[in-house]
Amino acid sequence: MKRAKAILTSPAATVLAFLLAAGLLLFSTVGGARAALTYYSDTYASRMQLSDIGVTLLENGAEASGDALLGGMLAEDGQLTLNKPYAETLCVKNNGAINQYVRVSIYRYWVDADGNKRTDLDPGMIRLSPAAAGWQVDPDATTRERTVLYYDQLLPVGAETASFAETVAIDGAVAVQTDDAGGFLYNGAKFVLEIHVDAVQENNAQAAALSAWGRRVTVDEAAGTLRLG
Amino acid sequence: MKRRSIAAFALAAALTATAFVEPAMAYFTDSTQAQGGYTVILGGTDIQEDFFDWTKHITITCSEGAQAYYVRARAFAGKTYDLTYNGDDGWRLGADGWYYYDPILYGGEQTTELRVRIENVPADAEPGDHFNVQVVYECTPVLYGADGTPYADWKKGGANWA
Repeated sequence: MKRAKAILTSPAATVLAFLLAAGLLLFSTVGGARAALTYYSDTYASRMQLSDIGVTLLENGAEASGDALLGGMLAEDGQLTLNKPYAETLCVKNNGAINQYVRVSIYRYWVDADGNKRTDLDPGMIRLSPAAAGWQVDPDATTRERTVLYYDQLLPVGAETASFAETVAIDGAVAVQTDDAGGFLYNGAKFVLEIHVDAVQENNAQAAALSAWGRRVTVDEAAGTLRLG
Repeated sequence: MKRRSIAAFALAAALTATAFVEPAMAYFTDSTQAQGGYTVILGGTDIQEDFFDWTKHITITCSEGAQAYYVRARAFAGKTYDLTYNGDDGWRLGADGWYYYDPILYGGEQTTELRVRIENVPADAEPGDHFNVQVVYECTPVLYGADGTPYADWKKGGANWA
């Protein structure tokens, strides 16, 4: 017994056991690879397709992204005219490979010449026409600066939503508001319109919306509709 | 030896705990964003007034790069003197006594001349005599109706005295 214990606890035995384990491991890997190779044949071809989700913001029918929004707004007049409703048809297009539900967040605010936000200026002076039927306003997420809209229909591949705006205008009231020094309050301020579009997959959309958007929605998968709450 | 046992126990416990962790769900999502805007320039309007031959010669200028405005003007002289108006093209007497300049006054543009003559001036009037005749003009930003037709809302205007 003592002899056997001495052999088992000797360094040589430890090294031998290690080598044996490594050999077994290596051999098992090779075996697995060989098994996989023998499984493959020309008769069976495997094919896998990854679903692709894609969403685009359309401005007057053209794709808009980055800093390109409102780029053609003053093409006709050359300069901004207060109160004039400029054509600004905004909608969302599904340019992916799967159906989706979408929402948009609209931000309106003013910045100074350095790009710093002017919180003393009223975002309400930046007027967007109301969204068409089909868009639901989320009252819990909407502020004077931000409006969050959910599209209540499933958006099939290649389809476009109803427009969530048709015109944009700057209220003429900005021309008669003065600051404490008697200067025009809005003079030199830049209005900014910012649109965020989010999309989630059709399958298990209720959980997907909660996970990705943090908003509890109810999805009727059979009818292809979404409502808040 | 004791440390090793504790470590082994901790490892076993951690591995067991992972069995109860909910599987992480991944969803297909996408997003895009765009932004843009323009600077509002409010240079406002300014009145130029010359006085000779007992007549005030008035023009109103809209500052370069400023918003488009409608303007109107009138003068006040109390009961001492009568005033007669004579405007060039564009000026029109309104039913309320104001003289309206019908064209839109865009940035950098100037109205035609509106003349206000002071009547009943005393024959012995001399240079330096005081005549209290004030000209008031108002401007209001051009508004647009649903069909794109421009119009003025004088309730949104602002008075300027000269």
